Amino acid sequence: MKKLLSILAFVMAAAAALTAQAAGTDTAPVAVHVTLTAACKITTPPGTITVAYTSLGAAVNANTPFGVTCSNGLSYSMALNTANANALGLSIPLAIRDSTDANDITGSQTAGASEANYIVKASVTAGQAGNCGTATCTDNSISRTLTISY
Amino acid sequence: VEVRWSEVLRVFALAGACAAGGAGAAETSATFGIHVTLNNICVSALLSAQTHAQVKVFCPTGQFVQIEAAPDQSFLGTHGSAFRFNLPANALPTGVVFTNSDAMLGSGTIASLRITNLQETTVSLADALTLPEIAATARHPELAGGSVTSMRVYNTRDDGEPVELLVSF
Repeated sequence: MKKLLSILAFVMAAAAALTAQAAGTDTAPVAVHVTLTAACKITTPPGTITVAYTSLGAAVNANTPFGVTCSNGLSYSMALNTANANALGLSIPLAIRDSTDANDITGSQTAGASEANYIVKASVTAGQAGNCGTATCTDNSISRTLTISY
Repeated sequence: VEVRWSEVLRVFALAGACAAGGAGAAETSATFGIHVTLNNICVSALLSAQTHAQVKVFCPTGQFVQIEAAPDQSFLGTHGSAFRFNLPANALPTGVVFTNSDAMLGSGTIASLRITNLQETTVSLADALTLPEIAATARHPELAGGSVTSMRVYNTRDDGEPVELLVSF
């Protein structure tokens, strides 16, 4: 019985000590350093542009849409490696335009919170003869590269 | 003055990092294709107006390619230029083509093409061309594509009198 009482006394003393410690407050600041590497991505890649033109005919336009998503607020610019798709003796300039085909897009753009939508537009002006010795000629070999710099 | 070289190095490192993070430092790209088809067959407004038909030409040179009736219009049949006719199947019933007297009725250049009604001389050519028994016949094998320098359609009932060609090419 005496032994049991001594164990009980020890437990109570320990509990009292713990309670006394919890009553005090000690804090230490924790620094959180966040590094965000800004980036851009072509989230909607441009597809194939199909241009069908009749020799000496009316002007023809064709385009493909694409989308760019960047870190919000990041400045970026867009360019094509070659700004034309000349083929079969036809002059076919290429331009990056807004998604409504209202304006050319040049220079630096500032990214918003969501994807920005654009088009690559190919234009064939009227009255071009082209080089084609048969009724119909096709050139599917042309490719261009769209680059986003940021 | 005591120079803290560690601070100096830190400033330079920071400047370098900023420069590296500036515009043009990083890129992303995508490649796309461009397919171009150039159609060389044009409808000649001038020839179409002259012939009351739809005349297709090789765009770069104006060379004649095909003539066909304009929509909802009759084909007059007499023209002053060399035309290449591309006759679709059943365009001309066999029965109305009189080939025995014209050995030139084949592929290639022919000087004239005479269409007569051999089966029903009592009806007009226009009526004959719509007769079921001849309209259903196959295209005459000799009526292949070729160059025609002139074309006249005769009404055998009224010999020698050109009539308007009512068939659609």
